[in-house]
Amino acid sequence: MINSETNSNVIDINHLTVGYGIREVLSDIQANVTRGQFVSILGPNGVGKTTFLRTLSRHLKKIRGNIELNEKNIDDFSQKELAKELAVVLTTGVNTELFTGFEFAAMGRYPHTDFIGRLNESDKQMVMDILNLVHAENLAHRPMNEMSDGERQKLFIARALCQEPEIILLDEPTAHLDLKHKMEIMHILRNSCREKNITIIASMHDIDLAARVSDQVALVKDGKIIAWGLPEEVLTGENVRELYEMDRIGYDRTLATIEIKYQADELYHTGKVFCIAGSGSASILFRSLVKAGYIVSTGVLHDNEIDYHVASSLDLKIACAPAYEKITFNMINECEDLIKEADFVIDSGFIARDLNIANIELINFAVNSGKKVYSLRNPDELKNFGLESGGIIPISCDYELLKAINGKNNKVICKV
Amino acid sequence: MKRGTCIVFVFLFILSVTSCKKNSFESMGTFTVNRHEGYTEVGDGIGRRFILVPREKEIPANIGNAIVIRTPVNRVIAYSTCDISFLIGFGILEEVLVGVTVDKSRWSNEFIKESLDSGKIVFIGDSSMINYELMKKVQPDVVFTWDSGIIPVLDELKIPTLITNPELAMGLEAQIKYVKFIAPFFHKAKEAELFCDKFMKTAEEIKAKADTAKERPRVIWGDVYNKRVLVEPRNAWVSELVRLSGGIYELDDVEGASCLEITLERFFLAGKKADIMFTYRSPRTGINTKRQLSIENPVMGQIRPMTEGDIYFPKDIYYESYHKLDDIMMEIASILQPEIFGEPEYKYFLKLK
Amino acid sequence: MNKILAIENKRYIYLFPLFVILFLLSGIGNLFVGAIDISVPDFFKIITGTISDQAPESYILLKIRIPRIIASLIGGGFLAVSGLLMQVCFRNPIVGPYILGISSGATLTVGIVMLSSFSLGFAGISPYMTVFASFAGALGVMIIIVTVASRMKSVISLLLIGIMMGYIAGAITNILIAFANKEKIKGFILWGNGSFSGFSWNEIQILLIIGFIILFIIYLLSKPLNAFLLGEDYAQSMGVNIRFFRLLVITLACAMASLVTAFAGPIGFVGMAVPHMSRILFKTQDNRILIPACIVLGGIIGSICDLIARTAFAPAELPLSSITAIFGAPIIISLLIRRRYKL
Repeated sequence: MINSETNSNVIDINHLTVGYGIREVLSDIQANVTRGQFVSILGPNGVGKTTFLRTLSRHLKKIRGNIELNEKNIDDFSQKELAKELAVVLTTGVNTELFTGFEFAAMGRYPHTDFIGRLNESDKQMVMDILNLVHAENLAHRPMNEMSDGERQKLFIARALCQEPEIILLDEPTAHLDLKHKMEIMHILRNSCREKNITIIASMHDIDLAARVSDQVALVKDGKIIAWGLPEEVLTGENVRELYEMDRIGYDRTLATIEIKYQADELYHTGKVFCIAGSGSASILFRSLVKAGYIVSTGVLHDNEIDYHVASSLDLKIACAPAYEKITFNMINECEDLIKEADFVIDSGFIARDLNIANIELINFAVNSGKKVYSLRNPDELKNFGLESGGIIPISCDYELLKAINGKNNKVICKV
Repeated sequence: MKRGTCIVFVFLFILSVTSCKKNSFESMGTFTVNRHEGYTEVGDGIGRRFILVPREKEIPANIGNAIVIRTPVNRVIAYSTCDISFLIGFGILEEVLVGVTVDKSRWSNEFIKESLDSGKIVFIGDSSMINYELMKKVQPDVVFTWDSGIIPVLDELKIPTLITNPELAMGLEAQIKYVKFIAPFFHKAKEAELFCDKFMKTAEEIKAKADTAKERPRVIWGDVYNKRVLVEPRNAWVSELVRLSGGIYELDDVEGASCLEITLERFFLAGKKADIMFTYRSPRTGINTKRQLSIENPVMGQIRPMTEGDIYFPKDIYYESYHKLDDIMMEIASILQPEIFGEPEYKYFLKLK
Repeated sequence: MNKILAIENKRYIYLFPLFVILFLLSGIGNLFVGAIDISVPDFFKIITGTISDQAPESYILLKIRIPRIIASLIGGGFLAVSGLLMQVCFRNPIVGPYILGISSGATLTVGIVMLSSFSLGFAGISPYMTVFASFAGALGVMIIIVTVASRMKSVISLLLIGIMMGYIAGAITNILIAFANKEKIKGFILWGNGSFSGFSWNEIQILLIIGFIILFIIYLLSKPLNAFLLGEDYAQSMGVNIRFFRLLVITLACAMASLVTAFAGPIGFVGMAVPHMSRILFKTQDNRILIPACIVLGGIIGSICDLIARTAFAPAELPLSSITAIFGAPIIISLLIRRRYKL
């Protein structure tokens, strides 16, 4: 069903400047939105996401430029016509006292009912259908003031859907929601795009969530929309870092995840670790070690591995090899240098095959250079590789490792 | 029932006449006067205690929290025209009155009018907007007021303040004896006795003569304001006087501490039976004729005093003539029973045209 | 389909007839009590003219009591509707019909007429003079509010301006009182207490005709009023012209309150409390139900309180606003405690 009817733009924004009176908040916005798409507006708090949405919904007067809905200037719509095109879900508090779920959702029928607002049978049926769509059929009888935030949010979305709009604007629809409801709401919205061909524009804070559900994302910063396009194109590690002006955020577009860099600096850290990793065996360890304040280095990793993506978004020192190529002597050398610097070495128990078998040698090197080596590998396997269990401390799993090293080494070492 | 109340009334009356002369302790409404050797203890309208000590005498010991006032008082500020009329009665108005809260346009007394001009008497501001600085400047020995709200300020200014609202002297007896409360401040106890006796005698005389009355006129006493009615309760001194004068007070089921609002229905019923109505509405409050009253409230057009009987209102001088209570009583009596007491002289009341 | 029907709140189907019956009963009950107790046979004799209309009983019943009963039934209802509109418009549970200074404006102009010296020029004060002054005062405040409202973006600022207007009017009234003669204040204070006493048939006619015209318009607005329950932003997004509608609602609510105040003076509490009672009893925020509910409940409360005011300490009359507060506040409190309803 996606975009099957028309592929035309439902919204065209031309040189739009929004703000309050003479205070411009966002200027010269240039964008268009295709029918049935999910657009996320991303950016830090107070940057003008809400202002932009309120201008689109005509709650705020625009300063310059124009907005067209279905090729008709938004100013030419009467309030009632606009209500049939565009519905909103806002963050403002609503007194939902004495409303049942059904009654509240049915408020959305407003632009379609008679002058006294009576619901006819088909209206009622439609409200029920929409409650089913948003998985809120069980909420129909319940008083709204007894519901959780997530349940209430479903009904706000149901109300907007009952308005039968082409476009729904949502201001932070997942704020204050628990994980389950966050996911459910996003699922409902995504479904509405797909099944009802509704265009959704939502301001969001969860970049990872946005990257997963959006057809388009807009990044808002410094009074401008700095990027508007496919999330795959727009959401790069660099863009995200710039958006939030946070060096300590790492975004990986492949994984669409945000990593927080706790990476300790040279002055204050718990210790230095070298982690021999590969094939995803160390991703969790990386995060945990960084969180615990270790300066972590790793190698040799092929640059197509998960471990590589996690390590790089955490800004670890990586000895890296091009994908599907054998590990070279140079890379091993690099690792050996890092191992010499490290206080101890971890073997993540990676799967060692032709391409990365050289990493096994690093374990040997570490043992020989007198470093303490923790290994997550099966001791039998170690024997197979010809490694004596002498200098190696076997560990059964990753959290056992953390317990082992935290027990001994949890003091911050200060090196001047 | 009515005979019963009359008997009780007569009994109280005799009791009061006797008590008037012998006891050193007396009360009139909420006011009390208690004469002791060398000083007099008085309680004002809200029960605050004052010790009146002649200037040459020593202040007695153990007077508790009572406020001491040296007598005779030489400088008085008084709110109520009633209090001031007793100063006139004692013949000391010219000497003691230094401040009032009623402006010049509303006085009938020539001396007060002139003194307000000359500055001998000071207008210290309307009762709702007293000029305390002016009050302090006037340096009164005592302030007679009905507004308890000013007490804290005047306590602060160290001016002895008494609540002397004569409305608190409910009933005819208390009204007659009220003069005795004012008197000790000016060493006029004997004069007050004379006033009291004179008033009492008049009351007795009215009662004695009225007993012979063949007809008993029905009376209502109240004010109609637009859609609402305020009336004098049965225990007000004027209502008692009406009964004393051989009239029937039609609103005998209304009881209260002062004028109070009753339902229009009740007023209409009483008005339907009444021959005479007294009202405080006067040209001052925009009422010059009966017609104006009936315009204000259509129910007024239906009552008998309007159609067949008469409506009387007090002249301004009435409010300054409490020292001539006997005259006033006599005039009310003669309005009610002209055959017995003679045609009224209309010194204090006027008939509404 | 049956499932859907079951979802809707149908309490009003049995509550309405119940309250309409109570409404009529409280009116009828009032008929027979007062300075004269009129028996049922006498009542019919008076109505049919068997007892002459010159008899005091018939005058009391026809000219004093019945107009008063109608006024209390209708006036209470109108004030409640006015309060409902204000509460919806300002999305604030503690506002009432007088929040925008309607009563203060009316009090001020009545004060000018009754207290200031220029009233001496008039021969007494005709009842219509007070009615006219009161309506003019209320209307004056309303016009100022509405003019300001059309420029105001925030409804809270508007509310504040209304409250300020009330303060100004109240302040000027106090100055008038300070300068007025003591004798004149009596009548003015009486007026300020508010009462359904002394309505004439002409006044009842005006109250009914204008009142029901306004009520009809208000009922037509119940749909946008419902949209307003979600706040102005949502209402606008559902197709309501906010500025115009806000103006209209304030005008109608003020007009309704002014109308009652003009004849009866300021009567407190009914307008603020009855909308809450209606919401709690009918368990709904739907204004299509609440408007008629307010009329009926407001009428019941109005007439019962008026009955208490005129009979509790008969023949003395109690200030109506005290009765409405003394009897109304506990009702609200108990409903709040029992129903766990949040304002």
